[in-house]
Amino acid sequence: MLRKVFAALCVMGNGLLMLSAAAQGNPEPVTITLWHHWGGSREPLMVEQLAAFEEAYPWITVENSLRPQEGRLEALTAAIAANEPPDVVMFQRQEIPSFVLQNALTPLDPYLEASGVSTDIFYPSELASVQFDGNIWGLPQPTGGGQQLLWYNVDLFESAGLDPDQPPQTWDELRAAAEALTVIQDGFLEQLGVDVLTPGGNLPNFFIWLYANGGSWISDDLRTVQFDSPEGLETLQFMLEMVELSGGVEELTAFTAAHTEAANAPWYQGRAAMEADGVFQYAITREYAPEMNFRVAPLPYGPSGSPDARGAASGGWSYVIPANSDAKDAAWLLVEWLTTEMDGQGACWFLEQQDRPSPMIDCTERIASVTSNTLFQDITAAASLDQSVLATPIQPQINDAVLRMVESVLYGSATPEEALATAAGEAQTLLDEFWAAQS
Amino acid sequence: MATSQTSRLITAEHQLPRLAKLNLRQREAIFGYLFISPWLIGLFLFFIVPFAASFYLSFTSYSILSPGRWVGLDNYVRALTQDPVFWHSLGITALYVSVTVILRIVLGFGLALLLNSKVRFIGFWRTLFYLPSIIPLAALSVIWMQVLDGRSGLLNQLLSLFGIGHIRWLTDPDFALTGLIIMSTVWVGTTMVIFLAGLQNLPEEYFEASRIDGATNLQQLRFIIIPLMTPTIYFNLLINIINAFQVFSQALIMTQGGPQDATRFYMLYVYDNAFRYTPAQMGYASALAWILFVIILVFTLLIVVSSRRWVFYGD
Repeated sequence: MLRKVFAALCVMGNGLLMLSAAAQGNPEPVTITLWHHWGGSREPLMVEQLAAFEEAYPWITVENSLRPQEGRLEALTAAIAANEPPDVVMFQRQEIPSFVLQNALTPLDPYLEASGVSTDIFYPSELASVQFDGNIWGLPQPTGGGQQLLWYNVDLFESAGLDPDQPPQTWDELRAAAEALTVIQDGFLEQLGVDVLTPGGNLPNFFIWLYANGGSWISDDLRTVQFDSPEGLETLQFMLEMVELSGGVEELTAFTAAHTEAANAPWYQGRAAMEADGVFQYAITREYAPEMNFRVAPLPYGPSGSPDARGAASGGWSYVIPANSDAKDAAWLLVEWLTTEMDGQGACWFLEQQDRPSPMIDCTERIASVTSNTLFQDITAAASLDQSVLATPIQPQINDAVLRMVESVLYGSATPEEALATAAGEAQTLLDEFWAAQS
Repeated sequence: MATSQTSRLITAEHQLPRLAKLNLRQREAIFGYLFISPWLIGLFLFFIVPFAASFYLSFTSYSILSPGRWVGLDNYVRALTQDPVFWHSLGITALYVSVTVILRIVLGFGLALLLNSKVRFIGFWRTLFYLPSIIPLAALSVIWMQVLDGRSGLLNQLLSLFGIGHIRWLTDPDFALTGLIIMSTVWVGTTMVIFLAGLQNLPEEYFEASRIDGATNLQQLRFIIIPLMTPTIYFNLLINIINAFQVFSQALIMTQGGPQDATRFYMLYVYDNAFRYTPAQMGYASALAWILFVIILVFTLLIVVSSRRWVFYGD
């Protein structure tokens, strides 16, 4: 009898506690999963950031899953298809259209509205890259811009008799600098001037140089291919010249492929005088080559380009919520923390620790005022010359066609004119078939 | 608790007489099927169901995230008549299969002959040649990237001893496929072990008789060993052809299909369509996989049919 009374009291007590918790507005405990790719020196920052989030939202537990970038889309696609998706995913922005068209992502507009987060906190170009079909599908973190800045080794410049205060601004100046800086001995590339084949960012190398030359690859409605143009031809010819200058495509790619470890890459080893790469290069170069004396400048522009339009911004990382996540409210709170939180160890702190700009205007200004990165102003100034480049839902297939075009020119199996026409035709066919299937 | 134990005993008592009514053959069959049921269930769930599903998907525009729609034979027509990469990748793969299979059979047979003789440290040599076959492919690919490095790779250093200039194995379209074919010889160990097992089962009396008749080693090889080994050659030929058609991982890791699509093998193209392209072209990839299945099947049947003419079973 006593046991029954005790059990009844326990049940009543639990019920009262639950009612009390509900009255105080504490939601049910929930565990959410985050897939991200912040490895290396960023991993402890991520751990700290998530711990701070869990402290701020004690009813949410985050399963922190650091994943390899290789095969990330395959894994995500399989997880979504199996109805076991992560609740928050670090996601490339240029892949948003494809996933949206397959109803795989959650629109964030209602959450932004409910939480009172203004989209004005982001740079317009950063916000534009997470929008598709009139909705916002992810929030940017870190910056998508500034992926192709011209980093240059001051000591190598001085050794070659070049003025480090006057980095190349145009393609002609870049070519002249590369000629002075490239060292080839017995047919082997010993020091690389600049590698035009592997600039940073997600776009094919040809598109990056095309936009630096005032060109465009696709119409605004994503229906018409536009790179078969005089600017496109100039771009291909420029790339061919620069690669020949580096000893030819076989030698250049053998030189860059020989370094399987990132820290052994020619730039960090002082064997590449210039490197067209992203804003993150400052922190990584400081880590891998702490003694290197380097600076940064905007990407040089071509004969048809403009000094006010240099790099090509397409995508960059963002955080999204899969459509079939079953903890969207908690997932949103995490996305909000990872992308908009100015206080504590939130979004702004995460980039501040890396001395790199943020997609948030106020955050970048705050970092600029406290950073020890002496190149920060140069980096943001160069990144501000970025142009926004559109991506289609079938971008990997288009990129393959463009890669084939560039290789056919570099390996001498087609003239630039022939290659341009072939690739543009191939890309247009792919687009026509895709949009026809959609309609 | 006691009630449930009692009921189980009663059920068992009822079942045993039922089993007892069966004859020995029937009881053996039941227990036989019970013992192999884990394998049968696995075969059904992980092979037959996906096999049937991929066949169905090959007639759809399925993209993993969306069910797609029925497209009939469109995927097959597209591959065979409108897709130049399909024919290119098939051609590259066929060339790879032709050369690697011959290389592996000849090298495997040669090594087995050597390692079947009485040489010192025979265990060491057998282990040495077999070892690469058990190294994970990803690790082996990374090692071979160093071996085939176009600037200071081991292979180029060896070739330079013979006055051959540096070859950019993985970045020159004229040599990339050759580089991967050379790499494929590291798996000769598996073929060699099977040949070795075959050689050790050859009846000694044939050799004794031939020696009495004055046969040389070469004559023994030509008239005794090779004819008696044809069943093993036949087996190795089939296995190597089936394996070589599915070449994938080393190209994905070492060349990503380049340079200039020189190593874009068929399975790499299937993978691109299934997983790398957006939206995923799983329907088309399934059709490509079935085309490859039919190609391998045809080759297998040709070899099986032709084997009646050249395989000697000693009967």
